[in-house]
Amino acid sequence: MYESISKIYKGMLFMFFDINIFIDIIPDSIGVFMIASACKSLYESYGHDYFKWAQLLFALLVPFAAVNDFYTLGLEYSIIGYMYAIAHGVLFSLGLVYLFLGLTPYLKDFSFGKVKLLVVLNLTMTFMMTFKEFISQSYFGTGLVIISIFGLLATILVILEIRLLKKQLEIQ
Amino acid sequence: MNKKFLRLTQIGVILILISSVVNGLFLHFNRLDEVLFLDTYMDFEAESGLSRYMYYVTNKNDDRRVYGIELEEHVHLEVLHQHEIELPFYKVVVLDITPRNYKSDEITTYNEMKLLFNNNDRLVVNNSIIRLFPTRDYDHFSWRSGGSSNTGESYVVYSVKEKTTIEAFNIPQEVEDLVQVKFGERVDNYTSVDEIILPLEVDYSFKVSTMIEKNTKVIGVFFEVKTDKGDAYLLDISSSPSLEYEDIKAFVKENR
Repeated sequence: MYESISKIYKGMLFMFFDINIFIDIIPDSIGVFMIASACKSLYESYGHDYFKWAQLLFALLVPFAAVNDFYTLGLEYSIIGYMYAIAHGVLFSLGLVYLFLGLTPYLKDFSFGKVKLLVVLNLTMTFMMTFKEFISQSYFGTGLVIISIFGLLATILVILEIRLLKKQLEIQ
Repeated sequence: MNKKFLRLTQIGVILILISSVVNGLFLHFNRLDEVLFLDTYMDFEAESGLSRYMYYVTNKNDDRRVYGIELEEHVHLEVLHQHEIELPFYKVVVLDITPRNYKSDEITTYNEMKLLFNNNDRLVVNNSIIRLFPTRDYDHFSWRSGGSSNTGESYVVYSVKEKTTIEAFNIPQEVEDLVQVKFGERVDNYTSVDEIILPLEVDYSFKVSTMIEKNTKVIGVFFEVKTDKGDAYLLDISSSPSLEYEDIKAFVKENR
């Protein structure tokens, strides 16, 4: 369990930090791959179908994230950016729910509310993205910035929660 | 985390997928194959340093930039600045342009121009009329004041240095039906230029008012006033097009 949680923690950090020097030097794709790999280990250890689904969803996200890592500049309006945003929103959110649904019986003190908040914000952002061409850029931009700030805070809270869990498992 | 939340997430995902497919199809059918240039009537005077705005409509994800406009070999309009106005589906690109190194003794008219994009694309535009004028001296009248309102009306007040007889007004034929030009010897008394009895003597000042209905045509032309003091005098008539979404949508529907 500890090794899998440690991988999920590192994977989330890779996805969270973006340092772009022509390409993302902390690639999201490696982070997503680490989470998928952690899901695989969890499935092999505990045998829950939830982990299998989570592994499949994160594995599907890897190629989208890899393409995104190489197209960081001017991505906002490109078709690649649009596809990544939709794929990320759908696969990441659903993958996260399956992963933590599988972990629920083993984590008594874990705050699932923060994960739920992250999923809801992520899906809201993705839903907005599907309408971005229909809405005036100023309204869309303002709405997206507000949701993104909350999404960022929720991501930080989830990462901190996983870090805490990792430390607890390390002591045990 | 429970199964109920999983169900809600699944419903959210299905909604997103339906929305992206429907909206994607909608976007596909509204997509422009090539940029649409707004009908443009524009005059420039050599060495005046005057710059004017030109507009075209394109898809939101078109990130090309125009680096020049070719009228003929060695005759170019330089793009000083380019900015964009975002609308639903489309964006309007605004080009601030001026003639580059143009010198000539006569008026040259161009009915076709070539947009040069930074990715080496070339686009021939033939819904525009560009006229390049030689440099003129303005000894008889001098510009005193001017202004415009957001209803499409603009005016210029000129001072007359000495008693001058106006012999003819000449509005470019192409914009004659698009512009209402009024003339007043006194600033509070206007007469349509069609109704003025010529020749007409002016000895102090006069005001020219132009009214252009808001539409998607771009007008920036010279209005010639022939006088007894010699060469034609050039006044400026200009208007910015309406960039409201509904107007642009109608323009795209009509021209795509």
